[in-house]
Amino acid sequence: MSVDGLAAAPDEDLVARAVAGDEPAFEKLVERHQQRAYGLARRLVGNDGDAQDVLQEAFLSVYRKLAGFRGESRFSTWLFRIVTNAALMHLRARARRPQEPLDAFLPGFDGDGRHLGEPAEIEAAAHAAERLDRQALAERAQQGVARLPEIYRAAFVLRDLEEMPTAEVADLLGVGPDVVRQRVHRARLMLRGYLGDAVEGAR
Amino acid sequence: MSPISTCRDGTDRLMEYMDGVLDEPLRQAIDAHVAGCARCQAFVRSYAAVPGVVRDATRVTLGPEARDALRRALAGRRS
Ligand SMILES: [Zn+2]
Repeated sequence: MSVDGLAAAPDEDLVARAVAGDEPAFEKLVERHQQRAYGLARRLVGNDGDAQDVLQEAFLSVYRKLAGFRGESRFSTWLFRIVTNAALMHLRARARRPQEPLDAFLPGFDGDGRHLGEPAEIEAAAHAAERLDRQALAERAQQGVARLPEIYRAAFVLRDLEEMPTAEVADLLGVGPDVVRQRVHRARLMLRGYLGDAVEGAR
Repeated sequence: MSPISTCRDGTDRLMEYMDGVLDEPLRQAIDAHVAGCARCQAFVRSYAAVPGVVRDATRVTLGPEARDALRRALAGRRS
C-alpha cells in the first residue's frame, strides 16, 4: 500500500495489516493516535515524564495484543482502555505519598438542605478562566485532578476531559453507566470547590 | 411533596440531569426549584463550567522530541 493509502486507511485496515506484519501500518496507527493517547496519559498521571513512559508501555502493549483485537469496540476505545490501565498501574507502582483528599471542597448545605454561601461565592468556579492567570489555573487544575481519588479521576478524565460518552466510559472501565455518572459527579463537585476556592483566594 | 424540595436534592441529581437520564417529573421539579433559587442558579453555572475549564487548563502537546523518543523506543523493543 502506498504512503497515501496508509494515511487514508481506516484504523481497522491498519490493524489487519499490522497483524500481518506490516510495520509501516503499525507506525501509522501510532502516529495517528499518539497525541490523544498522550493527552489521556498526561491527565491521568500528572506529569510529562511518567506520561511518556505510560505512552511507550501502552503502545508496546498494543503491539503485543494487536492480534487479539476483535473489533468489538472501536480501535480508539480499545487503545484508551490500554492507556488507562497502563496509567493506573504506573500510579500504583510508584506509590506516591497519599494526596490530601478534596472532601473539604464538597458543597455545604444548611440543616434545611439549602446551599451555604452567597450566590457570588457559590458561582466562583465559573469564573476561574477570567480571574486566574493561565499558569495559576493550569497548576490548580492539574493539582485538583491529581488529588481526586483514582476511580473518580479515571471516570472524570475519560468522560469530561476526553469527552467520551458515558456508555463508552462505562464499557472501558467495566462498570455500569450509573456508576460512571456517580464518579464523575463527585469529581465535578470536588473540582468545582477546589477551583472556586482559588478564585475566591485571588480576589 | 415534590421529590426535589431542597438545593441538596437537586445538586445530588445534577449529573443525571445534565446527562439527560432523569424522568420527566424529576427534571421538571429541578427546573422549578432552580428557577426560583439564586443559589442553585449560581451552583449550576459553576458545576457546568468545571469540565471545560479543567479540559482547557490541562491540554498538552506531544512535542517532536517526545514523538521521536516514542518511535525509537517502539522500533527498538518490538524487533
Ligand atoms: Zn436551591
